[in-house]
Amino acid sequence: MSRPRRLVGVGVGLAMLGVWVWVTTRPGAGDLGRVFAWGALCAAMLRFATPLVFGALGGLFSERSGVINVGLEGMMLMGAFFAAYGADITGSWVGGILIGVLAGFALGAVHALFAVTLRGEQIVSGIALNFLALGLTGYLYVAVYGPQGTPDNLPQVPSVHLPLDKSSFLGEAFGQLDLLVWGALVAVAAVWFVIFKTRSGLRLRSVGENPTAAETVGIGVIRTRWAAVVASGGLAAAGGAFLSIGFVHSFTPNMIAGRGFIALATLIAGRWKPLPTLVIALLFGLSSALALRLPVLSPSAATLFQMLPYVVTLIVVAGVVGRSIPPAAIGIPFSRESGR
Amino acid sequence: MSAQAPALELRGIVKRFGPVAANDGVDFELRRGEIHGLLGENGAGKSTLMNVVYGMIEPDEGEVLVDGEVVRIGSPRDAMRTGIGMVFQHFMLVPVMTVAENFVLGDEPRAGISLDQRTAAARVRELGERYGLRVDPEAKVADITLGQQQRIEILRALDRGARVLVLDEPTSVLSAQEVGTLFEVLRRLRDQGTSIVFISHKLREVRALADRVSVLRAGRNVGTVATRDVDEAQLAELMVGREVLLRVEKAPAQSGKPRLEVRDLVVEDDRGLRAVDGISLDVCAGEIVAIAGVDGNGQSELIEGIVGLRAPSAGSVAIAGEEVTGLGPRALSEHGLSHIAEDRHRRGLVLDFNLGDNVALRDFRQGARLGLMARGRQRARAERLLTEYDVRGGGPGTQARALSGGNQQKVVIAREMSVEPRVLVAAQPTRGLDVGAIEFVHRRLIAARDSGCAVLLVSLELEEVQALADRILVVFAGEIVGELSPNASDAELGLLMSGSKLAA
Amino acid sequence: MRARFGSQALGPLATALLAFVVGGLVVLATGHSPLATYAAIFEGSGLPWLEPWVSGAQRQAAAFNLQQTLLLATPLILTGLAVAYAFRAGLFNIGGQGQYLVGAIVAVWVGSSFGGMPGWLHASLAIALAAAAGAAWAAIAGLLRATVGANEVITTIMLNYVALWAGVFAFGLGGPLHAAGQPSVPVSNEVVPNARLPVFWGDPNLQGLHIGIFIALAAAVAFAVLLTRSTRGFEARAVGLNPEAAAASGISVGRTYVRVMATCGVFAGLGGAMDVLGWQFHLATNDVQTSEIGFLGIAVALLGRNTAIGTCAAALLFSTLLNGTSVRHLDPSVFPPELAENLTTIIQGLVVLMLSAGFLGSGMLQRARLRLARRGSAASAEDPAGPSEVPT
Repeated sequence: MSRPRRLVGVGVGLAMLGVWVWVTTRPGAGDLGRVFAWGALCAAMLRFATPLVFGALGGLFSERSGVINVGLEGMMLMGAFFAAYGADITGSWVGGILIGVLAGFALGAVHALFAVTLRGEQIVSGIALNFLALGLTGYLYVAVYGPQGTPDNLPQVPSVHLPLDKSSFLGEAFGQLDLLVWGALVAVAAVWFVIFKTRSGLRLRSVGENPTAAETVGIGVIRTRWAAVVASGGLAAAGGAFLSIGFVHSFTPNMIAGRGFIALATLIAGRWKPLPTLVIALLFGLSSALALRLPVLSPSAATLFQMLPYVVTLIVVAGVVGRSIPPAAIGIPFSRESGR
Repeated sequence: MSAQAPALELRGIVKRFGPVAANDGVDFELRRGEIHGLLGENGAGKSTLMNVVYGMIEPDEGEVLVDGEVVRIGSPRDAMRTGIGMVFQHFMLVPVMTVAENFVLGDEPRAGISLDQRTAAARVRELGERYGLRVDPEAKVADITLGQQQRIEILRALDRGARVLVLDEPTSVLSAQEVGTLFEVLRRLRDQGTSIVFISHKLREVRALADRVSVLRAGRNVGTVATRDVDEAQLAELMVGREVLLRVEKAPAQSGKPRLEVRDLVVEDDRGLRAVDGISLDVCAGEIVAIAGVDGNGQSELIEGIVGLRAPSAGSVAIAGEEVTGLGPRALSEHGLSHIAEDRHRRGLVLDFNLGDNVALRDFRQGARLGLMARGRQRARAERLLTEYDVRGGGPGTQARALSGGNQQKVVIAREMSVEPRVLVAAQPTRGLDVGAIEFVHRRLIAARDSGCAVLLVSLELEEVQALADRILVVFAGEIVGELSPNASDAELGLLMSGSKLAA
Repeated sequence: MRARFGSQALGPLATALLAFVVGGLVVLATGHSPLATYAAIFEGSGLPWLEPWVSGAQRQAAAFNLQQTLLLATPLILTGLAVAYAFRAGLFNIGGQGQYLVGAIVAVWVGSSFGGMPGWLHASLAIALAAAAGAAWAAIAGLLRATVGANEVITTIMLNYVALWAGVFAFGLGGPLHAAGQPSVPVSNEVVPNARLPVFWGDPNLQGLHIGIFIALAAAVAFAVLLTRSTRGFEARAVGLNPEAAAASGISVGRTYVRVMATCGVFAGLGGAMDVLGWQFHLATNDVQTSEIGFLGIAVALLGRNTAIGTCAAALLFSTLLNGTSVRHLDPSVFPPELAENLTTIIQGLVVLMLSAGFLGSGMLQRARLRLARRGSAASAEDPAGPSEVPT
């Protein structure tokens, strides 16, 4: 909707964030400097935002083509496990990412089969993907690694070292970021270009807005949606891969912990557009980074701060999402003959 | 490819949907360079037939010939490749995209790896010049008129090399002026060698435009004739299968006091534009007032504003002298307002409810005790009403979805009329119904009028308006532009509907 | 009616069977025998108790196992109903988990405070407040949907996490509900014996079966009555199947959303109360973090086609499966329980996945079709009758 309204939404979100910070930090207000080591906070924000960006971009492909994707959580989980597993067996982080993304494609294909070809209920099949991925990765994790967990020497995605003064803000914030963090930023630009500037993007959007119209000008709706949903799985999986072999350097069952759903909220609050989605993801990244840092001030409330990203999501969803207009044909299974 | 072969020929096309045969062995022939009217009632199978031609629907039997050769059209892509283009009744455009983007969709020019927007726009301009169909390539489709949207569709079909052009009910959303322009364009295209199928259920238009006409009835082609050899009455008889009374029998109105008073009503549409821009009207007890106009001139918003589905931003509504502006549907129904919704599938019925529950939809709270409904009473009432309103095809336990359109509408009417409303708002009450059902609805509306109900009828069908109304109000761009008596000529009505105000 | 139920049950049964077959393939792929595994799961669930020839110590073990299965079925029925009721109104309540947790937290708080109250009153008060808390929690999502149109799938999930961390905070060291007597263990106080639900089968000191199962079954009956007989249920169903028609005939869609969600919260909150007052008696932060009952309710409701009977049957099936695969009950020489628990999740996933494609009970699909028909080409106007709808 209108720009001012949107700004109001984001503004309300930020204001609430501020109130939260103020309320929860009052006893140790003098320690603010320790929490807000700005450069480090900024770096942490980027790190926390990265899986959300990949997840949301994945969701963008699927939902722009008219297929609701609440299976992002599962797709990210697949990416996380198979990236760790792939890195382990190939001995290289590249192999890890490749195998993780392939696993994401596979789960995307399952979604496409049920939601597109079989014209199933899209939300239900998305939920099913989450169960499936949770069970499958948990099963394989136990079967392959057992109680020891993933090995300590798991190959990791390297960091990019920029020749910046380490003590400066820029150096602290950008000097030592994981390659995949930069990858996420590049992905935002790339997805924007593909969706809005290329032929494939035009076709993808037309399929999500008015599939019957697309079909009448010779665009294969089913084929386009398949491609979009499979791509969706791969992108989301990249976000999971970042978490396991880029961020925490191991895999643990159910390690996505709702980030897939936050990614979905990010996408919706970002109105299915790459750049606004990035902005919202950064907002969540910031709230997560704060959630980890704030306990310094008030250790007894440490667990309370863990709520922060979820509360912020709720506020953003309530303030912005209600007014964002989804692709017109989202959630509606397509068949040519009953495209009547 | 012989010179004599027709541009398009259909032989024995059969298409069944479940037990219903929408096309039941249709033969059809389109000569080169002619405009061929395809006439038929709603449900006669016209659109199904043309969807077969365009590859949207796979026929169960029969063959399609283009230029004398059998072709298999399995998809719209195949259709375009064989030179068939189609302009759908509901335009196949993406509203959030620009004209140029819609125009090139499916055949996009590229510059490097990106879409070439400039070439796309140039193509729209160039083709528009050539056929005299100008549209702004940079405009968003959602922001241009329906007439202009139709131009994009025609241009797009021509751009893809259409030598056969099929137009499905192309005039249903156009103003009289726009219809005139469309006809000129189509004649010009014909003269340049394009063969055209013009689908319609409006006799007058087909007579005015087509060289030959085929009539479809119950899924069969019941006759192809040269237009100059027949008159409207003969066509109507072919279409319906019996002589048609174009007039409805009714006594003069005995109108009483104003029951529904609308004053300076302003209603905004979803985009925040003033779709209803200061409308005032009265409907008295015992009269039918009809709102006539081209689709999209604020009728839907006017209805929604009156029946409480959209809050008016200014003005007032009163029922029997009591101010009811801004009340919701439940409160309004307690004031004696009934509403036959414009789209019965969308608002009139819960298709997956059974008929009993659909009949109870308005007053399921009646007789409830401790929050539990009086099911026995509901069922008895439903049974009584279904009989009284002659609903066929099921009892109170049948799903509404399983009924024909006419019987579904009877259920709506039973629910809304059985409460003996003081005011009845009937929005397109006969849309998509067969002749028998139309007659039923008309008789019921007149009966309601004669029993003292104030009836506000909104219809896009001029004949219906003229047949039923005691007074006609013409709406254009959200305003009432004039009042006419039902005896007014078509020309007068058409002039008003296209927006030229009568000199007051 | 009976015949209709039979044919309705056929689809879910076939789906469940197929899921078991695919699950068996997964077992096979990791080098175990599917038949032996399923047999061990059956054994662990306690179902052999129903076989009259089982006797002696075996019978006692089976009885104990079956009590555990039914203990698990109790909250599953309730969280299943919480999902099912929302579904009938066209809402997707993923928030059963949070509503369950909020109910459990309130129940443990009330149950462990106010000592000296009469037993029945104390238990009733705890149950009532837990249900009310669940209702309030769920109503937030309903309210957001009704007022700003925020998608309930996202809001309920976020509320789940907020509830989770609230619980971890409450029972954590130094938290407001932390047991003062256990300075190093993050756990709540014990529910006082007076407020515990009576056990009617088995040993009260060894997690015997408490009367909560009857409360759950009564809730299922209430669900059915509410849905088919009450005006509120009528409104909910009308809104679920066609919100526009419901609104046009005078039903407030927004209010219905709030009421429906609150009702769902009552069911899920009751589930939390049953577990806490029936056998857990205290909550540790770990309990809060590992609980999955609410999520399982989704699969239960879907498999049960959002009907009362179906939900109860599906809850029994899943509790059998879960209990049979749990560490305590599955024979580790046949199949490692840690794997089996994940296998259960896989089977749930498969069940839900297959139901997604053949799933007609929710009304959401019909609504989607309706929208499709409206947007579709001219054929919708020409469509002579509803029944010609192309079967999916």
